[in-house]
Amino acid sequence: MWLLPILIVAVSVGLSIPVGRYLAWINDGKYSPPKPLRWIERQLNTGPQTWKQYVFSLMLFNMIMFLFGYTVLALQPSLPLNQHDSAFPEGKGMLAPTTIFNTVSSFLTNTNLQHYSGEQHLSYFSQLLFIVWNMFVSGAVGFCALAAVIRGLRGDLHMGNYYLDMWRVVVYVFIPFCIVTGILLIACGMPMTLEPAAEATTIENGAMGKNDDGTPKPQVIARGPVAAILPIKHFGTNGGGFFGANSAHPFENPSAWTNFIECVSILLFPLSLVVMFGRMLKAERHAAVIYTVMMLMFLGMIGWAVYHDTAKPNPALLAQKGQTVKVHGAEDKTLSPLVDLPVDQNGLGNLEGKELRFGPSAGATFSAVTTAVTCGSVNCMHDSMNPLAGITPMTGMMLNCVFGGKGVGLINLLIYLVVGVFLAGLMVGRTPEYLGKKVEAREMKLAMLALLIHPIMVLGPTGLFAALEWSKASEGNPSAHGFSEVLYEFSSASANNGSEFGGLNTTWGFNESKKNLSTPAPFSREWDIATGLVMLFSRFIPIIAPIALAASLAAKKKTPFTSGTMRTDTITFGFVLLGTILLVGALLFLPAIALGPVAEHYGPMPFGR
Amino acid sequence: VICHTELRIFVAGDSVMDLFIWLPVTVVLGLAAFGILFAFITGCDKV
Repeated sequence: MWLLPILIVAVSVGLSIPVGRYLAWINDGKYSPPKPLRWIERQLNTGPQTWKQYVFSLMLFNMIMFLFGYTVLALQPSLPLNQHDSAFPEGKGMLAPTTIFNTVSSFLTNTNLQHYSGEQHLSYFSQLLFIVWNMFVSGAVGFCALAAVIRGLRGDLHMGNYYLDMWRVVVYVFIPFCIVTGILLIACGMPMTLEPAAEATTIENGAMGKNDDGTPKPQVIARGPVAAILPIKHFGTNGGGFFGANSAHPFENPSAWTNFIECVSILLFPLSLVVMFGRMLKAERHAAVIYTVMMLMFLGMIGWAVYHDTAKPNPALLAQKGQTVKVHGAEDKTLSPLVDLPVDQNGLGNLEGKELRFGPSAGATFSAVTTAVTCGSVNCMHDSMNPLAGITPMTGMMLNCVFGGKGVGLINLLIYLVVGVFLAGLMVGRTPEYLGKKVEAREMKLAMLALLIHPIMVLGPTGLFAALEWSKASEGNPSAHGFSEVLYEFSSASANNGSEFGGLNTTWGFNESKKNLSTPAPFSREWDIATGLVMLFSRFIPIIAPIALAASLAAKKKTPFTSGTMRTDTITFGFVLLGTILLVGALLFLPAIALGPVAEHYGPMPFGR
Repeated sequence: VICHTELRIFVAGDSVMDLFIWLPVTVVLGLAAFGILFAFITGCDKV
């Protein structure tokens, strides 16, 4: 039960140290590229940028990507590699415009929230040119933002060059790691083909239904260039699946081995970035404290999820009345509802919504991994987890700093750190300092802007939707579980996570609804637009404000270290940081958690029945 | 070139979004969001 999470954490921690050093080496420009690459770098390097120039470049790049992505998806029916099969004889049509808006915003912001199903609604061209491209560059944006913040914190006069940083991350980090992992995944059975969906004749005649002329329908098995997407899906903490079922699909996660590789791929860069932070800042003890605080929270999340999800079967299942059998000479006996199930569930916990080929704790472990680092890939249905276990993925997204998404997770933690330093300074009656720079009113205002946008974007829309028909008509389950579905959706959008709780009906699909395999959701327009806007604001405000904060600190004189200076490389400071995160996080989100999973756990009717 | 079948104006109904309304609306919505974010950058300088 516990072997899998222990192995995943141990291997990820072990790899994070050399990889973190490599990242620092790349970001500090200490490498010597081959001549052709050096020439490209010279063309891209527009010179050192101030924080405003850096952030303007970042935003301009993303705005162009928005228009580019929108164009590709809007023109999908006319573009090449639009495969035809018996399920879609005319190829893939055009998505509904609000779904295009949502999808472009989602992949641009590294969220990968999917209000569509990959194998149904996207052509191979859209998957390769739009999805993969965005996965590379949106993942690199967080990297670049962190590099700029680190340069500011160490007092550099400029923040680097955005275009050069982007190039370095994509070419020297993502591409080599993705090639190696892609080959490994193909060797483990993952498809990599441009052939259209396979059609198979089922052994049972007509198992897939019959055509109008009475002939049996073939089984259509979706496939495609899955191995091209999977590595960057995880290394870039993107999470958007080639298939609707994401990493629960046997082609997207064929075996327990690929499941292990995928988990380590998700964790690798977020963990390594803390090591990079220490190397670039030349403050490795301080980075070790941050790493330990993040790891403690992460281990707590995994432990909570695995314990509560493997403790007992799904409560809705247990609430069912089992079969009644007659016993000769005695009273009738009612059997447990678990008796008739094909798999003996005793000691394995909640198996609903899980892929048994990965092992009983793999779903809970994956849920903690994917939400701690805000990846969003899933290998089980989070909707089906026991109510208390479901708190883990929500907590990961709400705190958004338990390693967090690449770059931005650490930036979020640094914001908590500034708040912690400020509170500690107030308690001892000294002007707060961080890395020898005074933290004053301007820095605190910027920190609060970056910190508060996330809870505002989670709780505001959740409250609005919960009060309107938009939520009730879309929930798969009523009552507390339905509220959890809505809360999860906005937490996922705002944390740029992208995973789905499941159960919430938000998909329109192709604009012409008759081309869809299912009926469009009644309020998909509202969900598309609301979550699209949440993703955009929650992505970029917590990037812009911290870079401005770092630049503000960079412009200040360093104050001499005295006996009264609060050290940031001690266990005491670690507790201050941990306490600040947990206290602020609980104040912001605990009431909402209480209305969702906690109410469901203690409620008399599980899952709102 | 947008496929002709995709650009035709559909009779208002629950199952199809009118592309002449929703395409420009969603593009402008995205660009407006970026406009606000650019203004936020300028605002950060004045904090």
